[in-house]
Order: sequence, then C-alpha cells, then structure tokens
Amino acid sequence: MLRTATADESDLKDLTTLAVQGDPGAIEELIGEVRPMVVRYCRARLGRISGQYHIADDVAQEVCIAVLSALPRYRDMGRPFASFVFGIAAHKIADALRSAVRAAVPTEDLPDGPDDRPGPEETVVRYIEAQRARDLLTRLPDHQRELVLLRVVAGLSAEETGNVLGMSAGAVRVAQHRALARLRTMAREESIA
Amino acid sequence: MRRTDAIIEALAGRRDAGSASRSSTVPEPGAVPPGASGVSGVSEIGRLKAGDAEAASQEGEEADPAVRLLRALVADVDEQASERAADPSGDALPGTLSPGPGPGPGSGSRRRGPRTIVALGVVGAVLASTGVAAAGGGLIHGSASPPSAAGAGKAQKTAPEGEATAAAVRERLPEQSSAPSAQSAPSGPAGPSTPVRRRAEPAKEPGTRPGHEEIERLKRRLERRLPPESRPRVPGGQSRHGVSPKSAGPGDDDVRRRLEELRKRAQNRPGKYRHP
Repeated sequence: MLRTATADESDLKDLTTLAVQGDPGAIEELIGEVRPMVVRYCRARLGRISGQYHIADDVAQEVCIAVLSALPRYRDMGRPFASFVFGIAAHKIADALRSAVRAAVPTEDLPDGPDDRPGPEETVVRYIEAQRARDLLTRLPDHQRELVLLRVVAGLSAEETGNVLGMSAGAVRVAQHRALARLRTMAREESIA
Repeated sequence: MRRTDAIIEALAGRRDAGSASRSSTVPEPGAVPPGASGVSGVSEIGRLKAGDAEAASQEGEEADPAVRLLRALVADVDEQASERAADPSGDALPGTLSPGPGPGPGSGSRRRGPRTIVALGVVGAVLASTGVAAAGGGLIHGSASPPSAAGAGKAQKTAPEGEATAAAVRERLPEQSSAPSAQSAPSGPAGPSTPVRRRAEPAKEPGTRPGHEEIERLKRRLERRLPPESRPRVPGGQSRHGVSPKSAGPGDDDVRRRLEELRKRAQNRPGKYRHP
C-alpha cells in the first residue's frame, strides 16, 4: 500500500517526462489524470452560479489548456507535477473571481429517459450542506482554506499540497488539523445559533 | 492529528472508487508527525487501512459537523463528474454542459436568438430585393445590398418598404408619364442632369425618397421608349433630346429621317429590356 502512492508518483513522473517530450498518448493520459482534480478544485473554489458549475468547469478547462500549453516549457525541479498544475489553477481562479461575470447558464435538451440521480430532497440537502461548507471555508484563513481544498477536494497528498503551498508535509498535517478544528467549531456555533 | 489525517485521507480517498483520482487511501510513510510518542509509524499505518479509515470517517461524520459538511461538498463537486464518467457516449470528462435543466438562455449552440435575427434580416433583404426587382422589371437598384448585422432590424423593415416602393412605382408610373415635366433639364445625357433633377424634387419622407428616384428613372426610360410625338413637351418647344418639332426648312426630310431613326430606336429598346 505504501508502494502504491510512491508507484503512482513515479508513474506520473514518467508520464510527465513523456508528455513534455511531446508524446500524444502521454499528454492525453496526463491531462486525464489531472483534469478531475482540477475540476473538483475549481468547483469547490468557485461554487455554483445559478445552480450550475458551468463557470467553474470553464475555468477548469482553461487550466487544462494552460497546462497543455505550458507542457513544452515544463522542467522537473524536484516538485510534483500537481504543484505546477495547481499553481496555474490558483491564478486562473483568481482571475475568475476578479472578473466575476455572471454568464448565461448553458443547458442541454432535457433527457428523454429515466432519471437515476438522487431525488430532489436529497439533492437539495446536499446542495445546502455543500454551500454551508463553502461558506465556512471562506471564513478560514487563505492558506488553511487552500490546504483543505487541495487535500480534501482535489485529493492531493500532504507532500503535493505542501509543494503547492510552499510548506512541508508535516506542516500541512498540522495546518489541516487546525483547519478542521476551526471548521468544527464554526459549524457547531452555527448549529447552536 | 493522526485521526484528522485519516479523516481527510478518507474523504479524499473515497472518490477513488468512482473517479480517476490518484489519492491513496493509506497515509504516506511520513503520516506520523515528528514528536509522536508511543506509536510507531508502521503500526499506525497498519491500523489505518482503507476499511478502518472508512469506518473512522463514518463515525466521525456522525459526530463531526465539519466532516459532514466537507463530505457534502465533495459529493456535490463529484456529482456531475461521476455522471460524466458513467456516460457511455465517451464524453466522460466534466466541464461540459450540465445535463440538468437550468433557467435562462444557453450559450453556444443553444443561443439562437441573435443568429435567428441576422438570418431573418438577410432573408428579408434578399426577398425584398427580389420582390422589388420583379416589380420594377429589374430597373430598381440599391435594394439588393445585404444589410449589416447591426442593421438586422432595419433589414426587416426594408422588406415592407421595398414592397411599398414597388407599389408606388406602379401607381405613379402612369401619372408621371402623362404629366408635363416642368422641372426637366435641358437636353443632354441623363447622367449629369440627374443630380439637378434630384435637387429640384421636393423633399419627401425618407422612406419614399428612393421610390421617387426610381420613379424619375423609370420616367426617363419610358420617355425614351415613347415615340417622339407622344413625348411631353417642355416650354420653349424643346424636347429632352433636343429635337424641335417646329424645325422646318430644307431639313424636313432630314427631320423625318431622324424621327424614323428615333422611332426605330424606341421600338428596339423594349425588346432590349425584354430580352436582356
């Protein structure tokens, strides 16, 4: 199990090397690996607009495009590739928050088949709780909020998160503990209120 | 802190079953922070297996509101990502259009309003030009120019205006042909005299000005087609083409010959326009 994480990292490193050299298959696979993390991170940071994640997904797409464009210039400086990706993501999200444009919501035609998704009540409850989580996260200090999002939502390891934020893995774990404790306190205070 | 790390790893690792995340459900070798006493890293890692982490997180969730909220957040951002991953059509990546119903107009292919307006404007202009050209026998110019996108609304108005112009031309043509033209210019080609005639015309509504010009143009052409006897006479006895019917003298034969020539020319002209 220990080897799994290390093996994953070394696989990604090899994939990155091939992608930097221009191998199309490696590029596709690399983007496929990072994109879900980027999408979740952007969605967690930007939230829903008019009930949809379309702006967050657009920003995630921009991040992937920027990563793709910057691949030829990427140099392995001893940091995980995820640090490079989330460094770009942070800038794109900051740009999106600055512009804060409320665009129209793109929609598809309504599907004609059965809907297997959770029911409306469950969806609403989850949506409300997710929004509460975002509200609480905004009340955290910036570095703690980023840390929680990278660790929980994007699924980065402590080392990768530390590389993105410029911290050691141990410092990440200490900070995440403090962040969770703070979230817990705020959530309980809100519940009491 | 170990428990916190386990909870967070569990939150992050729970998505591995349904997504392409690389997160490991087992803490890294360095999971045990420096300074921890009494517990070795290996035994700690052995305890916190994936199932234990799951149980720990679930237990924590019940009592820990922060964990519950973070789990809801993770589920919310994963909602459409997992649906996309299960999409058999191949578009398994999130970030595309949401399948859920949403209010408001869509973008991209769903936004048809402006394009529809532009298309209607262009079609309207084409139909207007076609209709006016058919009504005027191909003599009306300037209506076939395509409108710009900004003038799409005006383009829709040109269609009824064009039709009104064609109707006005048809109505005024018999009136104008019989009325003496008091404002006709002296003899000469139609080109240079045209601006003079236009300035002399009384100012009318902007919508009828093009029609009035068309009428004048038609009038001139009709007069050219008419035999010399039926042409309207201007004061002074001079016709538009400078032929004075009162000229006599030894040139009577010349005059007659000239009139014949003019008559033949006039007779040939309708044929020219009928068979372009």
